[in-house]
Amino acid sequence: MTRPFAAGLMLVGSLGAQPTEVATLATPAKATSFVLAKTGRLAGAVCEDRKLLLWTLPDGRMLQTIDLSGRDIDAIAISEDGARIAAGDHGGGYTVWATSTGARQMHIQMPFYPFALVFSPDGKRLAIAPVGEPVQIYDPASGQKRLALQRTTGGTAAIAFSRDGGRIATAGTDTVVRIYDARGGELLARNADFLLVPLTASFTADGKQLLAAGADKIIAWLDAANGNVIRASAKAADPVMSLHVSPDGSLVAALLMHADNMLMAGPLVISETASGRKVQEWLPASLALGGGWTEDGRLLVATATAKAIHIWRVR
Amino acid sequence: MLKARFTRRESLLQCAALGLLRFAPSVGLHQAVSALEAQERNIARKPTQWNEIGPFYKRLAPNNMQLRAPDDPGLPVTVRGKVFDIRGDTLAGAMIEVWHADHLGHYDLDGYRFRASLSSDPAGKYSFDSVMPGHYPARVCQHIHYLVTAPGHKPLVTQLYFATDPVFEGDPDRNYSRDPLVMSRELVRPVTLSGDPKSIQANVNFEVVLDRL
Repeated sequence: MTRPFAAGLMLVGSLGAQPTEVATLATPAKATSFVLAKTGRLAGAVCEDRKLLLWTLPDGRMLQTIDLSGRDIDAIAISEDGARIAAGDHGGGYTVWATSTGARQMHIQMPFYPFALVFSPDGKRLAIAPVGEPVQIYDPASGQKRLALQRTTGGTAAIAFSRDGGRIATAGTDTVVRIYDARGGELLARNADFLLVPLTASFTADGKQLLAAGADKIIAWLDAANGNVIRASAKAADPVMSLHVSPDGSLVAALLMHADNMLMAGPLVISETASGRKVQEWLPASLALGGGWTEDGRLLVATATAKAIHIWRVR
Repeated sequence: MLKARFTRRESLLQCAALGLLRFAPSVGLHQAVSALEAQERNIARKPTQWNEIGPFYKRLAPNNMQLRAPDDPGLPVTVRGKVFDIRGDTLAGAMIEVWHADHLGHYDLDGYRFRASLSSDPAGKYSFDSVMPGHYPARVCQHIHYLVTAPGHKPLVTQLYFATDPVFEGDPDRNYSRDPLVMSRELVRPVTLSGDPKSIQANVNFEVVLDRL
């Protein structure tokens, strides 16, 4: 999910090691969104000139330039192995390309643009949350719809698969977090304790818990079996825009948003998953566009300047 | 009988994507599809255009039509309207949740300032007093969020916009799409000023039409 709902006002002291820039990717125009394959070997970005660019990492070699035909992109997603990249545009068009060739693999038209877009861990399913519509799961190779989840008021702000791909969690704009069987679509658990919209969710590595957070400014650890709150963090200064659990499950990175101006940079706060103890905090110079944990345990985050993407190694 | 793979709306959008259904440049895709659907269903009133809910909806807002405190800065605004169904009948007891930014464009996430949960009266009417919302920095237009629900009807999530918004430069017909989230001109409503120069007041009418389940 790359759509920037907002960003964070918080006085941030430097806690822990400060990030180092590990790659700089030249762009013809300013990048507006960024995705990173979990392998850490492929990155994609959409730029203001309406081009989708792909690079190999760490060498920063340009792999593909895909013309988006003037479409405004609301969300992009990349499969964990980097084989596929997907984009949803403001006209409700959803497209998947093979990253190795730039060939289009799927294109469907829906009524609305996306709030969220995410591949299953094996890359064989693409979950789409069009604004105001139920989450729908497609086979990106064939473009066939596999499943539609419950219709909820307003739609879904964020989607997360469990590591084994067996469950899918949704953060609803009706403020409810739901956990479904990802194959059959049965609702397994729900949590309705949030007052405001949860904007992000992420399963722990063992799949036993789901972390959810959003405009309530707290991170809630939910029992993935029944949706009950196990514990909650202290209230942050600003809403939580995205959560990323490390591959070994020991750390969680939370990107906060600046509620009064979502275009301003918010801090990234890294905490121990088990204790909630904060171990690192970093305020990027500009809005974090995307990124995440790689499978070898690095946390990479991208920011953009007018003609480049800067990739920072935070952990 | 063969089961339809797509809803009528989805099939019309698919036709548009394939070039089998075309529109004049002056007609937006979603407006055209909604109009075509309405005509096919022979309904008296077209459902109000849906618009996204945004990240700051908060449930359990108080039932209070006075969102504006006496010392609140900003242009006072009163919004009035009626809730209808698509047959043109008024809907009593519909729940109308509204929320918006203050005059500087800030949302209250910790409390319930400029948030309310109202109910339409026996004649389907509702109203509330507030201040004209400011421009939220990541949005182009001033707006008020709505979530309207009534038994037997589809929940409606939408937003109210103001024809006087400087973004439209006095011509919302031409300029409403400057905000990419404004998907229909019909959501941009005229503003009537009343009172005297020392206590000027904006008035806006916003009728909403709910589709059947």
